[in-house]
Amino acid sequence: MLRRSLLRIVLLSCITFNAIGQIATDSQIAAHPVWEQLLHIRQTPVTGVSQSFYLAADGSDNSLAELQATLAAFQQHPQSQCRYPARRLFLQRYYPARHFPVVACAEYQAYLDAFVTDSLSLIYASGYLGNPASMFGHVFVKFNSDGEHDLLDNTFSYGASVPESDNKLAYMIKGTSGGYEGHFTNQKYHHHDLTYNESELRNLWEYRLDLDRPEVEFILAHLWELENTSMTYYFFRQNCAYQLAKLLELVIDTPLTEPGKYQVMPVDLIMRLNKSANGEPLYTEVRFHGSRQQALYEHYLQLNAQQRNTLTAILAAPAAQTTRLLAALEDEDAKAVIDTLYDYVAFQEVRQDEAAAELHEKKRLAMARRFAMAPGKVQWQSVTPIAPHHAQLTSLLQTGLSVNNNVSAVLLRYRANYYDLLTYNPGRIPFSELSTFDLRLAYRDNHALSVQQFNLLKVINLNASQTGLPGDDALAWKMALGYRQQSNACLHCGSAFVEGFVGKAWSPAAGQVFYGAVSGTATSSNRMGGNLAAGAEMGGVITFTPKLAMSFSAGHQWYINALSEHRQYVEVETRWLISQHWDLRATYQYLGQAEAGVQISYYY
Amino acid sequence: MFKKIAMAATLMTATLSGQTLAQENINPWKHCGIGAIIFDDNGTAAAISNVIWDLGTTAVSSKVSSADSCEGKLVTAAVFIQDNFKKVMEETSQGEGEHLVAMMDILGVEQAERANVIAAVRADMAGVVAANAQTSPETYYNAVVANI
Repeated sequence: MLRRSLLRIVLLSCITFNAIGQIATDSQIAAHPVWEQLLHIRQTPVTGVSQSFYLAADGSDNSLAELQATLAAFQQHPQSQCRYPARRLFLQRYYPARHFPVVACAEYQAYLDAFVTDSLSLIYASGYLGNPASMFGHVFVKFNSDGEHDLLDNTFSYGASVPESDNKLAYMIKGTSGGYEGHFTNQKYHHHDLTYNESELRNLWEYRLDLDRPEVEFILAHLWELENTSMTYYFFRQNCAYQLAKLLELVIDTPLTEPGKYQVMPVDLIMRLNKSANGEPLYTEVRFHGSRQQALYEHYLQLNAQQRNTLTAILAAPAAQTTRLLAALEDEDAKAVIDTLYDYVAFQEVRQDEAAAELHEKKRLAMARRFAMAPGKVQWQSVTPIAPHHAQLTSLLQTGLSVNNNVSAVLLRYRANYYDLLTYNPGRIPFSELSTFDLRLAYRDNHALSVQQFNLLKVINLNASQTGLPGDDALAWKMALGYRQQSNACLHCGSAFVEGFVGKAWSPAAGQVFYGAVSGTATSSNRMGGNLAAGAEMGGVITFTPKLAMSFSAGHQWYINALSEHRQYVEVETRWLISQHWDLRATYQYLGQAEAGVQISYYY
Repeated sequence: MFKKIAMAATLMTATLSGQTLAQENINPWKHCGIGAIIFDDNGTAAAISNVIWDLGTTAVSSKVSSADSCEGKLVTAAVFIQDNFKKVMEETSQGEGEHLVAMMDILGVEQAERANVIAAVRADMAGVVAANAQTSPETYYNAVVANI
């Protein structure tokens, strides 16, 4: 690979000398980005649990003082080198003439022996709408061992320490305001397999990074330094993605956080892996680890008619019929049905918290048949979905024109993240939306700029069944809150709002979903008749081609505290995908008055 | 914590024979606190209870007591079986699978012996499942230990 990392520069070139051939000064070395990152300069300071992480009193923001304190400590207290192996590696390269006392670090060596490998993967866990902490996904690193199965690989993950007594609201408030301490933890990979694939039904994407052994060891060395330390955690910035990006930037000379963006999302880090200095991706391989739900769908779709009928019959009949139904199948057919039943039961255990005893009995009887057959797995066709790094990026700038009662307006929109029903994002939950800080402004002739809508949060999960099997669906739901104009017929009739719906969705064909729901809206203003409205909504999403998709919704609500008043609304939006960065939208909206528009979107 | 993990992983790479001698009388569930501390009710649910927060991960790493006899590969295998019992059972019924490979790796079973070990465990568990007897991680573990 032509790419050269900072560490390679450190290791292989004469960067102890500056451009005019003089020995680099302490100040120059202290300003080196790798040294600064080892100290987490310009980030929240690292706090040691039992002893300070910094050796100088002002080491958290004075890299020179910390450099000098480290040099002194290494000379005067040689064992301190064992506590700071990454600093030692760095300083040995920058001060080749300085000989630090030789010291044996038995515990660190044991750690290296257990952890170090030739390759490192960054793993992205897809979002999970059941938990506010998990909506935006997660990332962690895996140290790949060639000697043992991947499930036994070691991982490091960064997260906040959240007391069990904190509820989701407390988590959101404290998580966004620096109310938690974050730290790195290590686990075997099979814990993540269990947590994400099995228990939260989330897909994992593994990006095997193009790093060599010294680079992997340098990362491990810094993780060792962070043992028993913590850093203030911020949900939208100094989170798992941010800390892992900074960790990897120790050995990758490409910024891994998006310049100009305040928030750092896990998928943003994945996107940045495509942007090395020479244009080559920073990974050598992408592997997919599908969830149990994914396995169920893949296997069910590959069943033939007889196999599907048998599975359906088993689920519908009393458990006692399971053995008889399976007995009607040849072994190879029965194996496919049983494997899919395993997936189904595991899926239901998550969906229903605990699957019914009847279902467990069906599984036991099916398992007894499986044990009675010859060993050997079904040769399922491997299906790999489109990887998340192909999705559109997470932040949106949009501009366009709208026409409302023959009055034109220029539209401006900024959305901090993440995706709407039409965003091209194959890695996300199908037919869902997760938008935060979505601001839409309108500028009309002879009028000042006005806020058309501001969604602080909008979440939709239509939860349509993909197999038709019982329990393979859940309630379709929506929750949104923010501020918006209450009608297209007025200009300054804004109101804070909270709204949502609960209903049912159907997916008659791939790429299509339709829903019906009961809806409710609460507004801070009763200008349109009342503050509380309830009614019904129907809508859907149709993906005609990967490039062309449409969403629509229509609803009617009555004001509960003013029954003679009601509101109706219709929204239709189409999207034409241009690239990861661009798409075109055409919109029609009726809310007291019709409004049509076209917009061009830029994602970054 | 890193150190404990590192040491445990190091121990896992030791030869089987020495560890087996030291642990053959150890019941990981009774003597090492696996079930009592971590897995009171439902293995899966308990195993993830501390890592449910995506961005608030608390490591579940030190599952066993500090007794030396609870740090070897048999106990590591017991913890692995307890954690992944559902998958382990399914794969055993299928006769192969990545969790079985990982379990064999933990136990250090020679490649040439693995098929025989899995076949023997499969035969034992087939009888348990068919008889509708109690299938538990401990039952499975005992079958594994008896066949390696």
